[in-house]
Amino acid sequence: MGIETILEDIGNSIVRRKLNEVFGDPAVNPDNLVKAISEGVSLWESCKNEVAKEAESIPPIVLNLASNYVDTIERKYGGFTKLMLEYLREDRTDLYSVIINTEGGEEWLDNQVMEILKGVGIIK
Amino acid sequence: MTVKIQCKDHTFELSEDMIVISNKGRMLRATCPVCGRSILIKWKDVADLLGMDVPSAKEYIKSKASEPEKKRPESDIPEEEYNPADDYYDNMSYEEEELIYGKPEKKKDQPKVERRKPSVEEVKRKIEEVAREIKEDEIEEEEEDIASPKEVRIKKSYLEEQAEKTSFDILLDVIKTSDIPQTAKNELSEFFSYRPPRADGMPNDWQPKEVKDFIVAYGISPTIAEKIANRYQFLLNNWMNVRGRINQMMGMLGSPGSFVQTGTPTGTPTMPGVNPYQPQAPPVPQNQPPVNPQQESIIQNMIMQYNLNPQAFLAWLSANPSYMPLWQIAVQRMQNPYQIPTPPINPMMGMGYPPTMMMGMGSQGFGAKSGVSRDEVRRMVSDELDKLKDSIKSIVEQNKGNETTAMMMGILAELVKSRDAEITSVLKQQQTKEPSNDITREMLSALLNHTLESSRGDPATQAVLEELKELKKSMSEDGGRYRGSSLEDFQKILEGMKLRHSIDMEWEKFKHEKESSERTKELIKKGIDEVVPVLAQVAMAIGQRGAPQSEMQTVSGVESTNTISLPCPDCGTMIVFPKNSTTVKCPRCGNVYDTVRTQPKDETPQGGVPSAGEGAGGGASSKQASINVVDDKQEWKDGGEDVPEEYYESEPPTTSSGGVI
Repeated sequence: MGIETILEDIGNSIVRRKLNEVFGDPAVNPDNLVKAISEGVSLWESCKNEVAKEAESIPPIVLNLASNYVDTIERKYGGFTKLMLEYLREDRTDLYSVIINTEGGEEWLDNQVMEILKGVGIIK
Repeated sequence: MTVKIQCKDHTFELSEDMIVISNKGRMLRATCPVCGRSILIKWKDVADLLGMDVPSAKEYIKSKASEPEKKRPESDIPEEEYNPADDYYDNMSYEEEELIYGKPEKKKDQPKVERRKPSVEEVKRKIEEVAREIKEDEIEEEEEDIASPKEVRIKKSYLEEQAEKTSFDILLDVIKTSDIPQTAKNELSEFFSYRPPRADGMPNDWQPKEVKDFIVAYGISPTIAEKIANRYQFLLNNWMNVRGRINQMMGMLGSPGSFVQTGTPTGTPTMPGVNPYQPQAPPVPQNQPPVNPQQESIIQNMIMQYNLNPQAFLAWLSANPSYMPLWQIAVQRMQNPYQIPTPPINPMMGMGYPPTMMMGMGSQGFGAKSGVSRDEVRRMVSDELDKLKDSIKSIVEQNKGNETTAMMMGILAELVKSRDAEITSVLKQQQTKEPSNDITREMLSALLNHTLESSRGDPATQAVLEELKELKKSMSEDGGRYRGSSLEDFQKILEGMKLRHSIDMEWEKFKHEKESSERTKELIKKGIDEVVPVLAQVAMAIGQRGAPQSEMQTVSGVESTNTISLPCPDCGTMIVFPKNSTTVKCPRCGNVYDTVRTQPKDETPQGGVPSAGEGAGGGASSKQASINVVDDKQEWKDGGEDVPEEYYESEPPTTSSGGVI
């Protein structure tokens, strides 16, 4: 198994777990998501500390190898946003439904993902 | 002389008989006749009472003390009232009394401690009780010891430790003991633990090459990474060998264990760069490999020793793993007991047999039983047959409920019955050709009986043979309907039956196809009937609103503050969308629906968008279908207007597949 595949497996498992942890919060519900999308709320700005704290639990080696991982994700899934949407579709159908059925929902998610990845330091 | 003694609360006159001598005549006391309190008596008072001086009184009292001590007079006051100060005064000498005489109030000032003074008997009884309890406890402990042996903690053996280990533990050990910085150790260990399991749920073990790649990717020099990977590989191979050995042991004990498929066989070290988890070695050969006479004798002895004392033998075997290959052969032979050649002579004699072989195993000679007896084998075979019978029974039971089989049986039976008349006519034609032939009938009977016997249990055969039996019966009953038929004729009859059967099958097939084509025609007609009004409706809708409108489905949903949740009419997945959405997409199946407001069916429309059925204009045959969002709890608001009893209606002309729902 190639290093990229293993890295992808590991990265995906971490990202998915973190995503489910974040979306497991009762505050993250379709109503609030609609509101956040319509008002253009920035998740990174509103919960920078929490996200940074979450990011601390990611092994540094993953962050070190993150550029490889991002390239793999870009090539395989067409970007992190698509990967997030895929996970949401499987794990949180209600939130996924809101995002795809709300005007500007996917763009909003893309902005959030990019901001968070930049904020955490995975992409520059 | 009268001497007055002051009690705590009373004053009483002392008499000689009231004096109680204690402490071998060194102390004197008297009991208050009123309250029963024991009062210390001064030597001066006693001397006055006796009319002597103090030394004479002492002498007198000492002489009396040599006699048995007077029992204290009974008192109606219980002895519970114990004052420790009494003891203090009891132990006080005369001189000390003199010193404190005149300060009797000191005694009064002593704090009174309410403590029960146990009697000697009580103490004695208590001591006896305690002694008895201790003795009972000891007896119980002894009994427990007899019943259950003492728990002894035994240190885990090397094999046990290895069995509990995982490959990840080995990797962690290797990283932990490597020469890389502590931070790198921690981070790498954490990173390696993040690998998710395989799709089949099995642990996704790290391979040495992968470990090396990641350590290099982490930033550690390739030399060190290779060193770590090589060490990991070495330990991994070792671990795999041990586990393989454990597997073999478990196999010998009749339980294959959990490592059967992961173990690398003994003596086949994995080459560098090769996945140690892939099964590389061929399975244990079923055919016994050739062995030399010495090995043969060892094998025989192994079997014998195993039969005599399995535990001791296995312990010896685990300590001497080099005999494992021979033991494998021995196990194979034990599984096939009738192939074991009987050793003609003592194989231990002069054969260079290892001296450790017999250590601690006990030897009862070579006449001991080896392998499995005939009775055991017979029993095993019987068990297997029983199992087979059970499985056959279960299959038959399952087939009983099989509708297809039942249907086929029915068809077959009908087929055979309908053939009876035709066969009869054919036979009548044959009847005139030759004279009667009883042999044919006998043959037919024998054939039927034989076939019935051999095919008992098969429902299809049973049905056919029953029919043939009836045939035979009728043949004998009608006074020779088949009379004159030879064997060739009978074969012809059978061929005729086959031919008829195939014709009938073809006919059935044709009928079925005909039916299905008619049904298709009907469906097409029905479809056209349905589509025409819909098309008319669409045309009308285009004419009226410029948009197509067709079937709509009513679906109940839930409304919350900002969203509406509706089950997808197609797949049932909940579609959650904002209230102001006019088009929604199912997150699961991807179908797209237009949502419009409508009125509930049971209410008269009041200015809302008309439903599809209404829009189609009365006589349309298309059914009305709309997606309604019903929410009795919350006020329906849209665009600032309160619309409490309005509903959503879906217009599905724009499904992702372009069809109409």
